[in-house]
Amino acid sequence: MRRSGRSLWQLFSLILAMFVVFVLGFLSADLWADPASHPSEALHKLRSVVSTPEKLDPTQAFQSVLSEIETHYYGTPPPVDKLTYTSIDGMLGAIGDPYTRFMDPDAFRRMQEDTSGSFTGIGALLEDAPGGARIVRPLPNSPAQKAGIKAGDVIIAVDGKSLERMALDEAVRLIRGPRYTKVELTIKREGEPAPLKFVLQRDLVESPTVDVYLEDTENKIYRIWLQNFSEKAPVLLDRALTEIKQNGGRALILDLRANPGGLLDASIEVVSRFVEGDKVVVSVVGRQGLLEKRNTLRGRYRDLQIPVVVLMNSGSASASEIVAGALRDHKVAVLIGEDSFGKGLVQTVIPTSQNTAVAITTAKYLTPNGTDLNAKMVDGKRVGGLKPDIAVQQPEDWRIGDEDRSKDAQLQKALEVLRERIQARKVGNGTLRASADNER
Amino acid sequence: MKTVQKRWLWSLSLFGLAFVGGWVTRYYVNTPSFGKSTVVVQRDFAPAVADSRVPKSNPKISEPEMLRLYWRVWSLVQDEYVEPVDEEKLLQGSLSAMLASLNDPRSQYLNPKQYDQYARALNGEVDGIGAVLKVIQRKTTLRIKGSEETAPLEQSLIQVVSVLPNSPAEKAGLQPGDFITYVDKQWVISEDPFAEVLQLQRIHSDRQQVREASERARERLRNSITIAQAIETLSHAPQPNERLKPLQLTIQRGSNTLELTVGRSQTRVRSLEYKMLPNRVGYLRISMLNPRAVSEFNSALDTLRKGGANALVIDLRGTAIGQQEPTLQILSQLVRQRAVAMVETREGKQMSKRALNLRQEPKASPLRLAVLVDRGTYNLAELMALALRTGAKARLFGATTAGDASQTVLYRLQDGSAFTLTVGRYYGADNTAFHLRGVQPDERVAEAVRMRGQPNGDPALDRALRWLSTNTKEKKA
Repeated sequence: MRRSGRSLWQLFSLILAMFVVFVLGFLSADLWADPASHPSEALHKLRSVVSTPEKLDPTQAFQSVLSEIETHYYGTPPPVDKLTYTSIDGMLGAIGDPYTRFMDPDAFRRMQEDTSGSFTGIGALLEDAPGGARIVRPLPNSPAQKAGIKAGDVIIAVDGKSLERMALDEAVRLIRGPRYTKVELTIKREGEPAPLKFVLQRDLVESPTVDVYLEDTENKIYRIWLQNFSEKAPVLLDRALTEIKQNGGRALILDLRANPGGLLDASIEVVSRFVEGDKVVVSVVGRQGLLEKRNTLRGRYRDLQIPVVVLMNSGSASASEIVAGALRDHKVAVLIGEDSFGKGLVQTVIPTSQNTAVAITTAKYLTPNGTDLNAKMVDGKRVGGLKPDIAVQQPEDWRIGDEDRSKDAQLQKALEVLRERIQARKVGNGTLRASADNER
Repeated sequence: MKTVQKRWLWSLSLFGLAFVGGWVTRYYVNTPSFGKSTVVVQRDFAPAVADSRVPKSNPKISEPEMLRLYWRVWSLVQDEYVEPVDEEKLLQGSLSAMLASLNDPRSQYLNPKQYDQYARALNGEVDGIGAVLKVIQRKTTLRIKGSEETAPLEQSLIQVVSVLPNSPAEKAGLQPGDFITYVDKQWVISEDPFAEVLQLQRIHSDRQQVREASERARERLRNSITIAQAIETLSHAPQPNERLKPLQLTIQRGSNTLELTVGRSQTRVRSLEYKMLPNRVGYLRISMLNPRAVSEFNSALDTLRKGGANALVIDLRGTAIGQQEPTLQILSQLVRQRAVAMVETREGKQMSKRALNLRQEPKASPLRLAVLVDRGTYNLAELMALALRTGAKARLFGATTAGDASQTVLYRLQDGSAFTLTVGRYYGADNTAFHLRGVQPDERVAEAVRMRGQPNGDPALDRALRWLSTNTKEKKA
């Protein structure tokens, strides 16, 4: 009895001792844990921080600020994803390069629409007009053309919503929509006493890329207006060149004005139509020096044998400048117009998640002769870009797509140069055949 | 012998197991995914760290997907950008954008240099013109030239919260409430200069008008600085052997536009000044609510009491720099109850209000109190004025206070940078709201001060003294 009592006592004290040791272990873990989580030790940490600033782990710092805002900020915190996008915008903004930017899901979707060259809408070019949006022209085979909408019509309401006090891009957003859905347009047409109503079915519309105009009937001078460098641009250009050849064009104006660029591959394709096999189109110089030289592609050359002039202006950027620079350096074309925009930087769009991407300037472009295309800021002014061979300023009231060609001083200059060339060929070199003969 | 050894071995290993068991248990309890201990600790204001905290990431908040996205963009830029990039700049850009998007003037990122200025200002060393500045957002109306049309316009402006004693700003005559609109003839960008152009396009104005408006906007932008640049210029102190030209500031004061020439230096602000006025009224001017003010206040109060003071005037005019903890410690010498104010915070989507209590039982002062306030009485000084009225029956003299009831916390990051965040909103202990409205004085005194703290030169002080003397007489009677 006494013995069992003693062992019970022993067991009890053993358990007690173990408990004490357990607690000791429990407390000792604190020494291991992040001291910052305890106020008394946080001060110690703060002090040590002051003397030796450490490099921050970016993700950890980002996460800390993000979660402090989400848990403790007094106001309504923005959703986590919005806050993340803002933060990434700020990160890229600190680089100071406007082309390195983040695309949130909205921007990413818009970009995909733009470069694939198609969107769903009614297929008409619009411009700002008093009281609404004026149709510059309906695109061929578009819902707008099929419904009988004409150039000059003014859309004053979309689905009953007035455009009276609406900016053009807002109006465009109303008109666009999912494929096969219907949209009702109220249209004011000159000569019609009352507004007209049209119901159109939205459809996939190819955004205009290439248009062909016969600018001089007598001399058969054609103008190709290349409006962007989408995936479809090379094919559409081929179609246009074939059409010009078949019609016996004797000179060509490649109009790159207001062409903001697009895909690099498309610009290589375009130059390959004009410059025969394996010549440098553009050098790409990255962080480590020359990354690559992009050469013309074999089997794309269209032996036009007619003089070519390129029109460019301050709206010609990126891929447009590559094409203009390559055509000039290879002595294929004369450049007429204004200094180009000067965006000689290569952006690579890299997907960062399922629905976001980042555009990063990864390299810069040099023309075959080594001209840096990128404009620099000097005293708050942009300096650089490609210089034209013949500089021509446009009159103030000229607008792109103007029907009245007499105001287009750059075009007039191009026609003048080309007429001289055609004359020179006829007189100076009898062996040169007219392109029409060449065709047959 | 053997059995004893065995026993020892057994109990030793058992103890070892118990120790490890305890350690592991604690370790897991401490890990953020278990329990909320880390968050709770931060919620309290540790006196030693004086309103500053180390931010802790809470993995429950930040979706791993967003972290991955951030990291991916970060590493892509490091690897792919055409030129080497400055990591520090990227991080600072990202954190400051995140805090700026809250649109809260009290929540902002401070780079290491700005933090240093901030910390020195709390200590009474203020660089530059010597004024406490705040960026405020306000909505006004944009009038479009040559048209009846108007449109809402959002502006961000630099406003003077308070002017520090003996600073270049005080000498130049800058006043609380002034807006600084130009610095050295450069426009401080306060709004989108193209707002007019956008509106003109919206109402389909003719092209000539649009062109003129955009030329005007470009002209404005050509000669401009950002708000951040302006604040940096205004808070720049000369280095040793550096001579700084005085700044030419354009000030908007009410509907008047003034031109002031303001120098820049380092202003040393004394936390507290005190003296005994006639009729045994103690006068205490608290310019900073920082830890130094606490000890100085305690000894000043002691001296005044020993000198036989029967009433106190506490001057909080222009007091704009302070921290919560020192404010509470000073209050604990004067008020009767522990609850001196209320704080409203957000818990998830709910708002909750709780009392802000003193840490220890207050030592209520038997002295009658008058408090002087004005437009430059800001944030914690406003809270103090209100707490003295509810908790120590003080009477407030002067003008309506600034009206900022934000409870903010300073977080420090390991690289020497920091950020502030508004985490709550103060109310008086009787639930009086003073955010944006300010604290209303009991007696409004509008006359200008000629000699601050001098009877017959300081109208608000004179009124306070008159009240204290009648009050004393009544008591005696």
